[in-house]
Amino acid sequence: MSFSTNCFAIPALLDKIVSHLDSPDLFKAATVCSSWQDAFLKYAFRDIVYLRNTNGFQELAEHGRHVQQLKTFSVFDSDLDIIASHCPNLKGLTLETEDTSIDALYDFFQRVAPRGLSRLELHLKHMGRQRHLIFPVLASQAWPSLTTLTLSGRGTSPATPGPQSRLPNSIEYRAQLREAQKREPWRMFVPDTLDTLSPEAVKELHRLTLSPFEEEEEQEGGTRPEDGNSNDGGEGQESQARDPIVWKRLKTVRLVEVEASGNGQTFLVQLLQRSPEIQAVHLERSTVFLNGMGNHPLLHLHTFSIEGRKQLHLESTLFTFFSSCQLPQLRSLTLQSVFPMFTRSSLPPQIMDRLEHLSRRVTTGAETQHLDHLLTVGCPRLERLSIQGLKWSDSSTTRPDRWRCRAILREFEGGLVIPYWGRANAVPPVPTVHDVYRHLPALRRLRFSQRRFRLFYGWLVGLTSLNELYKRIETDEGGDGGVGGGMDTPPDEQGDELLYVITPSSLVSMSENNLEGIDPETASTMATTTAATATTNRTPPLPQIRTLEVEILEDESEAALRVMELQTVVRAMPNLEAIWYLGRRNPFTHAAWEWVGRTRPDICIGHLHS
Amino acid sequence: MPITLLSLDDVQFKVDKEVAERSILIKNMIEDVGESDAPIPLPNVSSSVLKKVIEYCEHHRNDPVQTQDETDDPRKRSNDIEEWDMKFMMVDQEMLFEIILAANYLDIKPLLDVGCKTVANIIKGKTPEEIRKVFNIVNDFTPEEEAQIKKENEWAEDR
Repeated sequence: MSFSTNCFAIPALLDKIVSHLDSPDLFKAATVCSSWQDAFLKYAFRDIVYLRNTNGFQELAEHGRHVQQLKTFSVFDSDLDIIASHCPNLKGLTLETEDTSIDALYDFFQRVAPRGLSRLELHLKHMGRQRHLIFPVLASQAWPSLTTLTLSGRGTSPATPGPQSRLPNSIEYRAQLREAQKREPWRMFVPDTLDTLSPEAVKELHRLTLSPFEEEEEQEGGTRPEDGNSNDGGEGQESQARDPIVWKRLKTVRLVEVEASGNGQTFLVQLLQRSPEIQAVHLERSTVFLNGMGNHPLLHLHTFSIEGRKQLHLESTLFTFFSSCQLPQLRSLTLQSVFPMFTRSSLPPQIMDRLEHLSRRVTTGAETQHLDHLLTVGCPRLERLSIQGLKWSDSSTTRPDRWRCRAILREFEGGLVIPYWGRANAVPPVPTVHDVYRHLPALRRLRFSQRRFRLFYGWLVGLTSLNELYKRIETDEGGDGGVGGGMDTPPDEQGDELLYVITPSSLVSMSENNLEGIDPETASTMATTTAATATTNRTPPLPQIRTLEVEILEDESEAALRVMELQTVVRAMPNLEAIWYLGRRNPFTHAAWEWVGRTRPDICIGHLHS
Repeated sequence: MPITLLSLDDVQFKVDKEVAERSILIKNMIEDVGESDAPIPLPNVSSSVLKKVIEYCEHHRNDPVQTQDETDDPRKRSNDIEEWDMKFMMVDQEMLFEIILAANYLDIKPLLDVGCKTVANIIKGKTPEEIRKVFNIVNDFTPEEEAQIKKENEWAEDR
């Protein structure tokens, strides 16, 4: 029986076999014999990535018809001609150009415009200078299948994919003008680009992402949002009169993302007033706010997010916006770093009572108190709460047992910033933090970003036990070695000493039923400490936790999550279903990874892209 | 209730209904025809191959039915073959291809997947010459053609 005349003669079988082969294997298989060449070559060329262009894409001239996904990171003018001529079946195209002329790009997009193209990513050198030319070219094309259009300048490629929009048929419109466009007023950017987009191109535009734009400090005489009435000036009227076509075409926008805008007050207000379908607004590193909105209703606005780098006192503006505008659907609110005196009076009761998600960054203890008060008197429907910037001393002021949402809060994210917890300044914060969990019976999702990773775990699962341990150490300096027997690394600073003592390794050593798997030397040292503490040091169970998210913010080698730490966590959370980690580093040691796979294969461990 | 399957060479096999219904083809036939004592003819499968297929279905009789999403999951790599399946597929090439063809005909997706993964594993990491040797394939390229092909594909190796 001939191999090539049986299985490989049936396309469905061939499809299945080649799906398990990578590109080099496919190319090798294609050189076995002529019949295999016919069978394999089209698969080998289906998904092509050129890291460097060594021979001018000559192979595309012959096999380009098979190419469906093409990524290339060095393209010259002549290469564009080959792609346009020989790749009619492209579905995805990524082009990063260094020396491509705008004429060549213009010609390319005039010619190629494959009907089936669904993803186009362009990373262009000096995007800022070229955009006036390239955008009209893009706009002039009919892209019936295009769902993703990514434009970026040099230094930002490969582009990081943004969060998937939940909105249907969204077209992601990204223009990252990180180099050339910093000094150009961003309002000029809008007519120069959106105005030139053809109606066909923008009629399904649901998501508008504009980033970044001019920073406020780079402008002279720019309008400050606190000044108010900024949209009543001549600039706004001029813009309104000049760009009617822009507003008409933005009527379908549902998600607005603006990053680092410095003088976008007029445009934002007009956009919100003229785009009745808007459901979500995200302002990142923005110094503008929505003065001049008046009592314009935003009937579909569900999510409002503002994240700034600066400390802006916008409480009154915030209150005016939320109280004067009709926002019947608003459920999610993110306020980061911009409202230091954010209080209950910053939010009208009708908004507060409807909120289901609140995200807040605090920087002082007073802010924590305000937030705690807000949760005590309002927000009864809150299901998701995120608090970043909590400190130990601040957290002691929170009273989750009084929160009105305590019975239904399902997700809690706390980014605690913990300084060295030395002997001199140590105030055991444990009981209060423990209360966060004890009084939140509906909690299902827990996420922490913690710079001191071990401390986080100790804090998470040890709590009252840790408090006892701390006092013990403080009064028994000679016994440090015994108590710290679970340590992997000796402390090199006084502050670190306590930090290590309360690692989960130490916690494990406190409970006799958790001794398995610990080396004999550690076990013997534990025996000396167990007797006095065994009655109170059992790890508090946290059965309500189903998902744990962890993140390492600093590149600390000792921060890796080790076997014993993981044992403690998993045992404390018997119903844990998944552990997700964020950030670049895998926080788990190899041994820890293996241990979970062996003992709790039901727990899913994966990387969560933030 | 046992089902009787009739192979190409007129050999009858009695199997439990739940085992037979691992094959979507047979399951549909039973549903169409209804309960019957008459053997189900499988004219494209020889008795030796059918015996292997039944062995596979017996072993996996309690497995959950694969959904389309699972079968299309790109994370299912070719090295994910279970140990039992790997041993099951340790047969000569002719039998391997016959099993794949039978799985395709009988519409037994898990068996088809295992078969295709096995073939992919045979190809993976081998040079063209090694592949020819394994599959007993004659190189029908002229030396000039082969040199040209190698030259054309050089770019793929250093991408």
